[in-house]
Amino acid sequence: MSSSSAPLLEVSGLCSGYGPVQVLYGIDIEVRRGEVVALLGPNGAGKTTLLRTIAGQIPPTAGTIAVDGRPIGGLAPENVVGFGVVLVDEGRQVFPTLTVAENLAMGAHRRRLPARALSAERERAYDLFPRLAERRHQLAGKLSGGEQQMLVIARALLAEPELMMIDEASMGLAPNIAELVFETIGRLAADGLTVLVTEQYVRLALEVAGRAYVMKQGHVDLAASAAELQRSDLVETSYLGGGS
Amino acid sequence: MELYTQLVLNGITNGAVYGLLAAGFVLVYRASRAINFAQAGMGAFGAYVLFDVMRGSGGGTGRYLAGFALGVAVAAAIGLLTERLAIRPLRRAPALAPLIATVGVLLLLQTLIILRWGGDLRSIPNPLPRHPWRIGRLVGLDSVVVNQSAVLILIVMVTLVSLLTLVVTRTRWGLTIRSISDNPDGAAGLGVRVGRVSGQAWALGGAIGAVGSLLAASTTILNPYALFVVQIKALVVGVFAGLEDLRLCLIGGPLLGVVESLAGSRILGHQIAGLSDSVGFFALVAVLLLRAGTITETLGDTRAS
Amino acid sequence: MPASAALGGRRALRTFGPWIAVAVAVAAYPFLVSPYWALIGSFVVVYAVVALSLTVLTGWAGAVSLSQAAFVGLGAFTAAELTARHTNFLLWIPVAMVLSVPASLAMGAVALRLPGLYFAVVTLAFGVVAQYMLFIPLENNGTTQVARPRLGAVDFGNERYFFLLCALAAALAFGATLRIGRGRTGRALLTVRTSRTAAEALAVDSVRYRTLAFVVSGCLASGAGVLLGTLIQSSRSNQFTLFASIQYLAVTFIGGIGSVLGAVFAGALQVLPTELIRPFVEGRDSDVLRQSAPLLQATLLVVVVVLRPDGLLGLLRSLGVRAGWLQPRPPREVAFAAPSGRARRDIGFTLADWDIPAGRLLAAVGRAPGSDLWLPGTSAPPALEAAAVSVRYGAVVALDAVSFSVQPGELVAVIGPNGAGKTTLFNCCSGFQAPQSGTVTLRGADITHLPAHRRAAAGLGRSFQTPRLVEAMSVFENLLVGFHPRLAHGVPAEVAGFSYALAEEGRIREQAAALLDAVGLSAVGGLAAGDLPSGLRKVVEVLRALVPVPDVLLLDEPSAGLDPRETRWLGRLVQTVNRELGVTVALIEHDMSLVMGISDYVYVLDFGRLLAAGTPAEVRSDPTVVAAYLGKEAQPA
Repeated sequence: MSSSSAPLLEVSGLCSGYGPVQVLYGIDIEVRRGEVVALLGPNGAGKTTLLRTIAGQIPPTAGTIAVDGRPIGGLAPENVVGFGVVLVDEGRQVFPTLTVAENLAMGAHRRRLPARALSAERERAYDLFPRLAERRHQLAGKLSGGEQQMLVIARALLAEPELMMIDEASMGLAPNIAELVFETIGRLAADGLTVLVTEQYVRLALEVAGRAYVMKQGHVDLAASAAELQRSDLVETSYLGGGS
Repeated sequence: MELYTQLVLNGITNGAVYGLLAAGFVLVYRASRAINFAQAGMGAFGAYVLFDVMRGSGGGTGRYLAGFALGVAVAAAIGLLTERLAIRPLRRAPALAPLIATVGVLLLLQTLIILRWGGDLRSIPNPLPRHPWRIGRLVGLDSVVVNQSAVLILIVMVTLVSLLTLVVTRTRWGLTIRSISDNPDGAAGLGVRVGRVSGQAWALGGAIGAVGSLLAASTTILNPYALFVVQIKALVVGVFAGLEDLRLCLIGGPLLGVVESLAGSRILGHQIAGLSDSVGFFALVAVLLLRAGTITETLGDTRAS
Repeated sequence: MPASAALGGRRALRTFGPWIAVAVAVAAYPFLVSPYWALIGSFVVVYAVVALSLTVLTGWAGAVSLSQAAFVGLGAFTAAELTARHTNFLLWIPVAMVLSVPASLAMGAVALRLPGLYFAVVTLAFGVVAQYMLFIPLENNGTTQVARPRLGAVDFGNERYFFLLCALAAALAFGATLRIGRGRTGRALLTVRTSRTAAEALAVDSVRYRTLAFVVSGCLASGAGVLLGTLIQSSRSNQFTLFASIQYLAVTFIGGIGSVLGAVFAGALQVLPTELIRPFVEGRDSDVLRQSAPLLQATLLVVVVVLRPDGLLGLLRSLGVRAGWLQPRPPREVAFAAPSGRARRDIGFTLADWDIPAGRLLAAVGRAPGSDLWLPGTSAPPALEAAAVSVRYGAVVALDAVSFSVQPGELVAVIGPNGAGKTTLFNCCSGFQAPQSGTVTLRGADITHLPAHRRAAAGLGRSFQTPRLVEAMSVFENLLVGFHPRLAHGVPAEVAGFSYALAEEGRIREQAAALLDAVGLSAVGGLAAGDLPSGLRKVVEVLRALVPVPDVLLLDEPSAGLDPRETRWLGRLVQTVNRELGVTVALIEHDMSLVMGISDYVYVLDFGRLLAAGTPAEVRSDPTVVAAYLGKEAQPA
C-alpha cells in the first residue's frame, strides 16, 4: 500500500493512566495508511489503555497523538471520531437492546445519512457479513460471541473510519471463531482499511499484520515486521521470559 | 359490585397522572441513568405558571391553551437546566450523586413555589368538562359514574405515552436515546453528543410529566405540599416499569391507582389506616427485592482471569 | 512505650485541654443567653446528633437514607407514648433505641441485596409506611403530648437545664461513636465499605459489621428523636415527613462531613437560617420564614453535590483532613510523621533493593501457626486443595473439573492466558464463588461450604488484582485491619474502654510498626493509602494479607502494576515469607521471570482446564504451554 509522507497515526511520548495509577510510560508508535499494525504483549502491558487514550476515553498526562499531523490528544471521544478514528472496544460492546440493523444505523450516526443512503450502506455491510444479514432484525444481545464481534466491526465500518482500532478481538471467543474474526479483518485490510489491532494471541495477529509492537509494562519492548517476529523467538522470550 | 367498579374506575383515572409522570421519568432515566427526583416539581412549577395566567379570568379556552403551553414549556426549560447544571457534571460520579442532586432540586422548587405563590391551596379556572358520565348505566350499574375530565386525562395519557413510545422506537432521535441507554460510552465513541441528547430527553421528559401535573391541577387543586407524595408515586410506577419500558408506565399508573383505591376501602370488613397511601410502597419493595438477583452487585466483584 | 510522668502530664493537657475548654463553654452557654436562645441551642445540638446518625450511615455503610426522619419520628412518638404512660424519663431513650433495632435490621438486610441507588429508593418506602401507618394513626389516637421530665429537684421544663441535658446526651453519643470509629470496629467498617470482598478475605464478617452501622445509625436517630419530641413537647406526624428527611440529608451533606464540628455545623444549618431571617419578616407572611431554611439548604445541597460528587469523605480528603471520628488515627506514641500538602503529592519513595536481613521479618510477626505441624518426610494433608472444581455461568464454562493442591510450605504458581479461569479458581478457594461441583479443603478440613470470612479466620489469606485498601486510612491503619481475627474484644469493650481492649490494641500496633520497620517501609506508615503511588499500594495490600500470618496465602497477580524493581522486591518478600515464616503460598502471575524464579511448582490453566503442571523448567519447555500462550495450534486437552 502506498504511504503518504505523514503517518496516519503518530503517537509520541504518550503517558496516561487511571487516576494515580500510571499505566503508559512514554509510548511511541505510528501507523501508516493502508497498514495493519498489531500491538502485542501480555495482560497488563497497557494495550487497551493505549487504544483508549488514543480514542479519547482517557486523557493523556504527557505526550502527543496526531492524526494526519493534526493533534487529537485530550479530545473527547465524540470529537475523536470526527477525525476518522474509530475504536472497537474490547468485550464486544454492542447495543444489546437494539437490533442488528439498528446497531449498524448507529454506526453511521455521525454521517447523518438520509434513509436511502443508510440502507445502501447497510446492504454493503450485509454483503461483507452474511451472518449478520440473516439476523438483521434480531436483538444484538442475543447473538453469539462471534456474531457480536462481527457486528461491532461492521458497525465501526459504517462510521467510514480512516483508522479502525480493534481491542482484543479474540477475547473470550473459541479458537475457530477467533480465526474467523481475524480472517474478516484480513479481508477488510486487503480492501484498504487501516487497522491497529491489539491481541494477546501472537499467531492470530501476525497472520494479518504487517508490523507489530510488543508492549511490556507500559512501554514498547520490541518493534519489528511480522515476518521477523514469526521467524524468531523474540516474542516468546518477551512473553515467557527466559531471555534477559 | 357497584362499589368495586366505582373504586376501580376511580383508580384508573387517578392513576393516569402517575402514568404520565412515570413516562417522563423513565425517559430521563434511560437517557442519563439518573433518577429524576424533581420530576413532579417541574410539573408543579408549570402548573403554577398556568395558575398565574388563568388567575382571575373566566377560564376561557384560548387563554387556557396558551397558559397550558407556557406551563409545559417552563417545565421543559427547568428539565433542560437541571440536566445541564446538575446532571451532566455528574456523569462520571457514583450513581447516587445525581439522585441527591435532583432531590435538592425538588426541595428547591417546592420552596420557590411557596415563596412566590404561598402555601395555600389554589384552584385554576379552566374550561375542562366537569360533568360526570353515568356510564354505569350501560351495564346496569346505575350509580357508577366517571368524571368527564378524568376520562380526558386518561385519553391524553394513553395518547402521549403511546406517541412517546413510537418516538423512542421508530425515530432516529429515539434510536440515539436507546443507544445511550444501553451504552453511553459506546455511543460517544460513535460520535453521539451524549450530553446534548440527554438534555433534550430531560426537556421532553419534563414536558410530558408536566402535562399530567397541569391536568391534575386543573381538575383538582394546586397543593405545593403534596409534591413529594406525588413524586414518589410516580417513582413507584417508574420502578415497576423497570425504569425502562414505557408501555409498562401506561399500565402501571392506572394499576397503582386501582390498588390504592381498593386498599383504601373496606377490605375484609374494616379499613386499615394508611394502607392506601402505603400499599404502593409495599409493592415497590416487593418488586425490587424480587428483582434483586438481576440488579445486585454480587459479593465476588472480581473479574474472571 | 509509656512516657515519663511529666511528659505524660503535658501530653494529657494537650489531648484533653481543648475538650475541657469546650465543655466549659458549652456548660456556661445557657446561662449567658436568654431561655429562647438556650432552646435554639438545644435544637442545634439535637440536630447535630441527627446529622451524626446520617454520617455514620454514609461513612460506615456507604448507604444513603431518604427516611431518617422516620427514625427520628419514632423517637418522638415513643416519648409521647411513654409520657402518657408516665414512664420514667431515663428509660425513654433506651426504649426508643430498642424499638428502632428491628427497622434498622430490616434496612440493613435490604441494603445487602440492593445496590445503593435502589436502596435509597426503598428507604422512601420505609419513610412513607412509617408516616401513614404509624405516625398518623398514633397522632389521630391522641399520642401527641410530650412532657418535660422532672428528675429529682431538677425541672427540665427550664430551657437552660434542658440544654445541658441535650448537650450531655450529645456528648455521650459523639463520644461513643468516636470510640467505635477509631478502633478495630471503625477500621473494619471502613474496609467493608471499601470492598466487601477485601474485608471478608481479612476475616471480617461483612454482614455483621454492615448491620452494626445501620443499628448504630438508627439508635442515634431515634435517641435524637426522643430529645426532639421532648424539646418541642409534642410529636406531630407532619414534622417527620419525606421533606424533613431530605432536609436532614441536605444539611448532613453540606455540613456534617465527618467531624464533630461538621455535625454541629449541620445542626446549626438546620435551625439558624430561620432565626436569622426572623427579625426581618416579623409580622409578614410566615411562609417566607418557614421556607428560608429549606431554600438555603436546597441550594447548598445542589451546589455541594455537583462540585463534590464523591461525597463526604472525598470532600474531606481533598481538604487534606483525615476525619476525626470516622477514621482511625494512630496515637501519638507511634511516631509516623505524616508529610503535609505538597510533600505528600511528590512522594518519591521507591523500594530499595531487598536487603532485609534474614530473620528480621520472622522476629516482627512470627511464624504461620500451621507451619509447626509440618515436618518434612511426614504425610501431612495438602495445605490447600481444590478437587474437581467446576464453575459454569449459563453456557459458559469458567472452570472444568480443575484440581490443584499445594503442599505445606510450598510456593506454587498458577499461570495461563487471560480468561483461563485463574481468578475464578482462587475465588472458589477463598469463598467468593460457589462452584457447581468439587470440594475445597484447607489442611485437610473441608471448607467448601464455609463463608469467606470464616475461611480467612481459619488461616486462608488472600490478596487481589486491584488493591483494595481503605484510601482514607493510613498505611499503618490499613495494616491493623489484618489483625482483626486476632483481637478478642468487641464493640462494648471498645466503647467502654476496658483495659484489656486497650492492651490488645496496643500490642497489635507494636506488631504492625515492627512489620513496617522490618521491611523498611516505616517512612510510609503515616501516609494515607490513597496518596501512595500504585506500586506501593500493591505492596501494602500484600503486607496486609500477610499480617495475620495465614497458613496459606493466595496472591492474585501481585506484580500487576509494579515496575521491574518493585517486582523483584516483591519476589524476595514472597520468598522470605514462604521460607522464613512458613507460609504456604499460591500465586497467580503473568510475570514469568517472577514465576520461574521463585516457584516450586507451576499449574497452567487454559480455557478453564488444567493444561499442564510441573516444575518451572518443565512447564517452560512444554510445547502445549508455549502454544497456548502464543496462540499456536493447540490440541484441546
